[in-house]
Amino acid sequence: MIQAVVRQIALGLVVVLVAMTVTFLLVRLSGDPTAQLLPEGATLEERQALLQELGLLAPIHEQYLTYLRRAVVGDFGESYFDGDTVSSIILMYLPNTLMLGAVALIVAVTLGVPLGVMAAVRQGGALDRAIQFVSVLGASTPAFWMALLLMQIFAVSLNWFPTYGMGGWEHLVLPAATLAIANFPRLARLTRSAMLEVLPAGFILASRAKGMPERRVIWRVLLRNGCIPVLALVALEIGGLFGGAVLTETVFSWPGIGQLAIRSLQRRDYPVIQGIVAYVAVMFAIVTVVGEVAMRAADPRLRKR
Amino acid sequence: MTDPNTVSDAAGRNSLPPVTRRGVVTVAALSALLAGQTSAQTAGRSTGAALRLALSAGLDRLDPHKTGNGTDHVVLGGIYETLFWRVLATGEMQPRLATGYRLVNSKLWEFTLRQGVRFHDGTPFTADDVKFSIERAKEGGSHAIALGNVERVEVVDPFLVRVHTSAPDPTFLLRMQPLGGAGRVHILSKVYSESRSAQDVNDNPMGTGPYRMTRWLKGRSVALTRFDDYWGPKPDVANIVITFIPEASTRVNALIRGEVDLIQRLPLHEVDRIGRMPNLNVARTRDGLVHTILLNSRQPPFDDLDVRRAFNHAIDIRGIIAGLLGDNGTVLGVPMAPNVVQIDSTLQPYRYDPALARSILSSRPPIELRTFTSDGRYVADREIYQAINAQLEAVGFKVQPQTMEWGRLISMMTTRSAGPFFMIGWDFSEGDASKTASFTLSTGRTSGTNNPAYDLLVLEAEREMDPEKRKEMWKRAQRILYDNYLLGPIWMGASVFGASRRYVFNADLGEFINLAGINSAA
Repeated sequence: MIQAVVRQIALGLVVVLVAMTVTFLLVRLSGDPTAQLLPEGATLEERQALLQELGLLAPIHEQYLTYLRRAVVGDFGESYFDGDTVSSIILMYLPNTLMLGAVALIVAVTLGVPLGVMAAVRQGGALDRAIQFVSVLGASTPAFWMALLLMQIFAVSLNWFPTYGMGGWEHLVLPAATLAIANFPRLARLTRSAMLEVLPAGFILASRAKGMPERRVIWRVLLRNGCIPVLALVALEIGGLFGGAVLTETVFSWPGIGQLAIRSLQRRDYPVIQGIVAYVAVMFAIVTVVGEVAMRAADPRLRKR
Repeated sequence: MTDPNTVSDAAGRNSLPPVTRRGVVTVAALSALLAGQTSAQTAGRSTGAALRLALSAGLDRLDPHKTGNGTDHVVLGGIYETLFWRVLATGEMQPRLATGYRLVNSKLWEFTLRQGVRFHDGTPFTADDVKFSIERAKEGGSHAIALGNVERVEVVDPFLVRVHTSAPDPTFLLRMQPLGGAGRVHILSKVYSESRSAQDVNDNPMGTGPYRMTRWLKGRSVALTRFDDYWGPKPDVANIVITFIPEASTRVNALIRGEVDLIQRLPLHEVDRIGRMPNLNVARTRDGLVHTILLNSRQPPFDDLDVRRAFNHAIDIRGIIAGLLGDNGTVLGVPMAPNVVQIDSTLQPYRYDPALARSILSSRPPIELRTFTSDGRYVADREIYQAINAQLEAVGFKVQPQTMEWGRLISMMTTRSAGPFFMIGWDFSEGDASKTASFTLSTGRTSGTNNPAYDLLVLEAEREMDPEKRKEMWKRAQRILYDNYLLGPIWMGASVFGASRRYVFNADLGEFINLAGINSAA
């Protein structure tokens, strides 16, 4: 158990390092930040001076080592535009993404898991088919299109919710719904197939034979035994949602990490892009470790490995 | 400091409602929230709600000497002022923080300053602030190039300033007004700026303008409130809240729903629908941007005048612009906005003559053009590229287009590796031909032109202090560009805004919005 978790942590660190290295190289290949920081008429000397100031004239391996040395202690430098430190900028946008992601995740899980279980228990029934249909529809609709559709119906036509920005709880509804709709079908489908794996097992039959109420059979015995893959997927979803939803945040002007990432990419704000990628990679690594521990806690058979 | 009634977070809430232990929002909490929401909203309306403005992009910096970003300048234009204000349509220089100027000799400008002006923190405005601001813009700004000619600034008395330039600079006065992008001298308080870090000055802008900033939630909104001690006519609107909605359809929906009162960049396909709505208006103006296709005449194939001729006669730019932009577009013969003082309006766009283009090309080996195109950077850029490329193909050019993300493309332009031709847009709202120099002189960062006779003439014009002589030189220079087919087709789009009828907003400054010029309709 301990060994497996340690291995997972080591693997996570490798992933983070690779992600950071790749980003470091890609942003430097993607274009010159001075092209956007300086006015059109700027001279070559001014450009060189600015590159010098930004530390972009040093040999690439030196830049890379400096970057890693600082990143280890959480220092990603300053934004080329805002002048604020990257950490403070990310911290400003992060709570918004976490809030949106958490609400979307809660909605997706409370929708997806029960639906998946119900579909499995009444396999092939009308409910099963309806759930399948809705899942496919939800999963195959592009997020930005779903976002605009929800906005058109619930904000513009019905006038129930605002179209953009942050404020009270009502600003959360449409972006969270967009994300939940994109995420719950996967959960529902996986829950269904996971339950179908467990359903034929002897202990289900035994529980029913003991006279255990059907509801308890389903929610206790069945779910407890079939939840491992679902937990793994939930962990992945957390990673995805807390990494910022680029399209949804952009459409609803939600000031989160996703929108910040896009804007920084467009502006070639190297330090901020590098900071965001490092944050997302670290978060994925943490979520994976936590997921691993959770799965073992849920299933005693895994603890021995 | 009173807080204006903001829009989205009327009660300053940004937290989720309380959640009970079972993860269910209680009805009580919900209804309390709803009640709070409605009361806050009605309270906002009754005390004169804020004007809510949605810009099409976020802010970079709020330091006027360090940014050329258009959205930044909309906000900065309410907070800071310049010595003059230039009327875009007529070119008239109206006094602002200066009451007048005098050209003592070709290298010495003298400015008489307005008395009784106060900064938002109550300190009086004097010549020291002007000297400080010019020097700050020249030294610390990333737009120092515009003030390269300034040698020294001399404070004669508290309301008289002299600026010595190292060479005659006919465009110097244009740096003393806010329109036209980067390198303008907005006036900061010397005492305030020197006692703070540059970051602090950026985060808490403080000027003499009609509005003072009351709150900046980075990435979300900026709140401005009318400055009670403003020296000039008080603006009609007391509070303004500025937000950012990059997605165009969301901007339009927010306007329709009444969440915002004014939006930038109304998409062209929405103009009719918004115009028909009883509570909304469409305001439009000739865009401040002049677009052209820059030809790289330094190397084959466009180093050959005949190939440039074929290129230009192959393109039906009138048809393309009329088809795509309708009456929002203008086609031009020279790379200058119609409001530019030195424009030679007798030079009309080249005739569409595909037969001529074909006959030029028929006697040559096939010419292949590997081009890079932008998508979404300028109004209808992708569609214009497609139309142009199709017409070039039709006369015998072989075009191989590749779409490029803007940041990458602009890097390629500045290293002269962006292919044989590409589209650019230049802000001409300062109304002077000197802008043309920045992309046609051989020394320009993105220029593809290298014509010594033209360079000589322009450099001479940029030292000529007599406006009439300078105009003549620029007319000769335009003639060189035109006769040698040094540029591709030239056109202008439009800036289109959507506005609530509760406000009167006249679009007359391109993408720029003069906040103090917005009035309540009531």
